[in-house]
Amino acid sequence: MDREDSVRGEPTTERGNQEPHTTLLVADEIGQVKEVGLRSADGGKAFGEPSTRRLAKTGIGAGVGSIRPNAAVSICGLPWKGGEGQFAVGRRCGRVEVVETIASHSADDSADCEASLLFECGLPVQKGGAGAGDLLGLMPLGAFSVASCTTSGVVEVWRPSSLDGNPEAAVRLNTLASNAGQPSSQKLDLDPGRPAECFSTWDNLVAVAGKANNARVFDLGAPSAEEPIFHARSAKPNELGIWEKPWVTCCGFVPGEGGQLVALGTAEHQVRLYDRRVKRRPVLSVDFGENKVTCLCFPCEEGASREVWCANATGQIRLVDLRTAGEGGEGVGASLKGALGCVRSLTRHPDPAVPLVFACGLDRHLRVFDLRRRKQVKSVYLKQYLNDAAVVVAGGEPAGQAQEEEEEEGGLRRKKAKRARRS
Amino acid sequence: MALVENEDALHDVNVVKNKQKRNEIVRKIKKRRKAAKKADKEKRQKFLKEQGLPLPKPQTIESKRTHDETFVAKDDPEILEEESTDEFADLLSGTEPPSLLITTCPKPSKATHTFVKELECVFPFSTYKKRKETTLVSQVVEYAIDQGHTSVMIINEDVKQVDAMTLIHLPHGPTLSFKLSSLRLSHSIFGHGKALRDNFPELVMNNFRTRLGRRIGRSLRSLFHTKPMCHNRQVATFHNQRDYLFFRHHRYVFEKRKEKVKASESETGEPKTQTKIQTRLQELGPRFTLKLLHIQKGILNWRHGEFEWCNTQDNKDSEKGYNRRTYVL
Repeated sequence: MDREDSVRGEPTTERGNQEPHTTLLVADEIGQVKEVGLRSADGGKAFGEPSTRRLAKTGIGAGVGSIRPNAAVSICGLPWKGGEGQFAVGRRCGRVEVVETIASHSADDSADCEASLLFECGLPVQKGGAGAGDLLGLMPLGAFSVASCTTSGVVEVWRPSSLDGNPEAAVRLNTLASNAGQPSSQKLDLDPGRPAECFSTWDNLVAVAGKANNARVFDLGAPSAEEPIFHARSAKPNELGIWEKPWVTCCGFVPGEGGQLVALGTAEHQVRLYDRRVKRRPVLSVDFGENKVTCLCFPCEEGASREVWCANATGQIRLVDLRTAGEGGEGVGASLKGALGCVRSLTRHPDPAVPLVFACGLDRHLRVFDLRRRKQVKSVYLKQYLNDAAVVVAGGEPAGQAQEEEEEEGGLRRKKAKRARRS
Repeated sequence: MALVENEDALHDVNVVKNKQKRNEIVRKIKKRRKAAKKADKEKRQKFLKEQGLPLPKPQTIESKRTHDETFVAKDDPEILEEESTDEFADLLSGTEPPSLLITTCPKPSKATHTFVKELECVFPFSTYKKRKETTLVSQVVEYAIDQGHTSVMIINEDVKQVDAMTLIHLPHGPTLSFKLSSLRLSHSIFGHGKALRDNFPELVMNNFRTRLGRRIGRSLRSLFHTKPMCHNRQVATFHNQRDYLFFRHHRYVFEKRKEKVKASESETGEPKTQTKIQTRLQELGPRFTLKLLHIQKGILNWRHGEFEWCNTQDNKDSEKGYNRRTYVL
């Protein structure tokens, strides 16, 4: 009864306990953004049927031969909007659009709302011949800006000049510019297509890495932002003298360390930890699986725990303990089973009290894993290849504990929900 | 003489120490129970028939399949939209004919060679190229792209028996890996025919219902020409049952036969003849079974490729646990 209503998109605010306590925006390969609402069932023990709604449809050309320029590649919350349900959706061709979740106003049945253009990054006109590339990702940078990165290594920082205005590029950084001047002592054959394959932000720091391109960390707040403040090096050659050419496929700053520690996943199934304070070579290296590591996610936002959930191209999601690895310890610990194909993105629920991790990828499902029980709790079939997921409403534990969260995002809607629950 | 208290209780039978006698009693009890069950069933069905209610359908393995939410509904707009821009859209719209390069693992034996020769007759526009020992798969793919082929099929063998098939669609297409079994070449099929080369057979794709199944169905369809030569009356069938794809290749013929209608049914009393159309099939070509091992999104690249679906140990754990009535295609 309720399920069909919510699937059709009718408002469910009257029924307080049927509202989703966690909403996710999922970006897929044909350019749609779907809003998935997870609601609790059985008094909060399990997850009931999710509701899905299509949000953004764009009129750009669809593409051919599975090269889709309007594929939605990345979703990130706009930090200056304070989490009022506005998210930036980045498409592969460089267009970034704003998408509003339907939470803040009454749900309309026509779920195909047009997304309005926010900005376009990496336009060839602006580049001045640096080479066009696909959009790699969008990430919030600090409290006021959003950073975008293309596969050719151009990072742009977008900051709105006024509160409601569209952001403009405040900083434009060609992260590979420092490559041009260097004599290549070792022949790094730069693949002209994708020198940047992953990108991560922390405060004012940006890390970019890719094929034949070790991680470089740039400080965008510093006056000389063109030079990286840290340029990683590969691990030393092994006893046979074999040196692995670098191919980094995912990276992330370890939270709680002020941007000093960077974790990377490589295409040669290694997870590496770099410490900026110590040395340029990796401090730790863990072997995980047999395929390239596609994404990383940290279980705790703050705190000294050094664990990373890593996912690879075959759908294996494993917990790598960065403390015990490389010392004779196992390194690769728990696993989250259930993904059938390459995992394109692992997102942790932003609320530390809610131990949920969401995995989405090429098996067309969004999977919800409980980090305490380490089991798949729910899987939502979303029909398309999924590229990225972002959590919208940081809801609390289902059925009752939600009232404790006062400072959550999405203020108006949460207050409505709280009122409905209390009454 | 009643040796047990309650003649119908199986567990009381343990009182009887003589094994022969004990077994006899058990058999009698079971026989009685079976007869009672049958009588019950007949009574129930008779009752339903009298009432005019439909009889319940018997359960089959297929009917007990766990519900799969990825079943594609007819004309799902999202799926159609995705398919209009996927790797097979060009081939399936008929703008360009397919072109298949068939090759084998290095150093194939005679079994593989005969199989490949038969495959050439199955797929239109296919060419077989002998694989050198030093050629890598990536080099084969490069060569195929240079020559303008749309897909590459690599037949693998183990212990002189064909056991796997890898289908790589070009230029960015997905790579499908199948396990090949139950191969029967045409010479071992009784009454087989010989397939015409460069013929566009009609296709029958059965039971590709899930999203994954649909994708595989499209990829197999893209190996054939979109406009079949119906006058050649050749049919290639890919039948999916419980995740196994059965391939059959037939030639069919519709024959008209005149049959005499029974004399009691005719009104005038003269013998009437009816024309019936009978279909006859002649099997051509090889017969084999495929099972999907994994699908990669790009060209075959074990180390750096991204898998759309791969059958790892992780898949066995789902929310409800492993269920052997769960199928993928």
